[in-house]
Amino acid sequence: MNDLKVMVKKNFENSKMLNKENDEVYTDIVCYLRVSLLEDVKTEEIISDILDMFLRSQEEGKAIEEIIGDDYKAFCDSIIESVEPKKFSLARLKESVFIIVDCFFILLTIDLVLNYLPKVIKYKILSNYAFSVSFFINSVIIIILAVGIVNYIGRNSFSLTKNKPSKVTYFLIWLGFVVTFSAIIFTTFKLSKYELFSVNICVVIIPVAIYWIYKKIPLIARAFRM
Amino acid sequence: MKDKSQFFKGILEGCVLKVIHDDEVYGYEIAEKLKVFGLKQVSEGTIYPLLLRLEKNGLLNSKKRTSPFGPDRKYYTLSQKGEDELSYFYSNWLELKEGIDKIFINFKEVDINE
Repeated sequence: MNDLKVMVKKNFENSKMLNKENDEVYTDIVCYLRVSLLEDVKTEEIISDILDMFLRSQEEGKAIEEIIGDDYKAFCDSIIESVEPKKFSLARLKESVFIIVDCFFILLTIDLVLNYLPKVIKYKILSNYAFSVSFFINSVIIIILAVGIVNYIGRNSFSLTKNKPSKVTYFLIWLGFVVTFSAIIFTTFKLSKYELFSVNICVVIIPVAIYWIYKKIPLIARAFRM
Repeated sequence: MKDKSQFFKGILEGCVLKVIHDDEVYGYEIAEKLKVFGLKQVSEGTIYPLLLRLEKNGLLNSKKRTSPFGPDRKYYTLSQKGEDELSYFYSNWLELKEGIDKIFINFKEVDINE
């Protein structure tokens, strides 16, 4: 595991000691900071420091407001402001690229299992793997939607906890999902026969296999140690 | 505290540097020490962003230590740059204090309780 994963895990483990009330505020703070312009390692460092404040105030029977004030968003903003994150940083670009690569491999694996594997079973031959237009369009839609949802929740974490979203908001969210799924189904049926290019199946299977082994190395290592 | 002036922020920064100069401390200890000296409204939450900025600007060194509550704690010491900044702050402060004392030398405080 790399440093970041260790930090995230440690923070998660320690946060289990929070009581329900503090856990709610803490979760909002974590969501808000994780989608901010701060780099991931810095964010986890700050979260660990904040968690220490929470746990000690809890131990002393003080309300968290006495430590960080009652405007949690202002507290987070003052933290972000003091770190002065750059609008563009190489580390953040790298983080984004990793997220997109992760999404791409997951979607490619799903496509292999749902579209390619049935053909192999049916025709009993290893044909070439065809990258269809629909696969690319759907991947882009899904990645944009996923990143959008995470960012929306993070940026509005405090107001979402305070005021329950209105009926209009619920309707818009529902509409958004319907439109997105319709788009995905439409492209799948109408555009999957158009292929962009096709490659030997090994060119797809080997990178996918390497990706999953690489991702699961910590798990595999743990299993062997037992 | 966030709407307190830039002036107060600068003074708080000087006080924080002095506390760290005296001892290797972590955020909560700094807030407690300042409270004992009479800066009552100061809390760990007010000081934390300030510590982040001082550290970012190279005035502080920090070291992680384990704590009984779970998360590791960051202990701060002054860097050379921090020591320089502290001396600079103090000489500025003395100058300012002297000036203000002179202005108020013939001023009689009105007791608000009367």
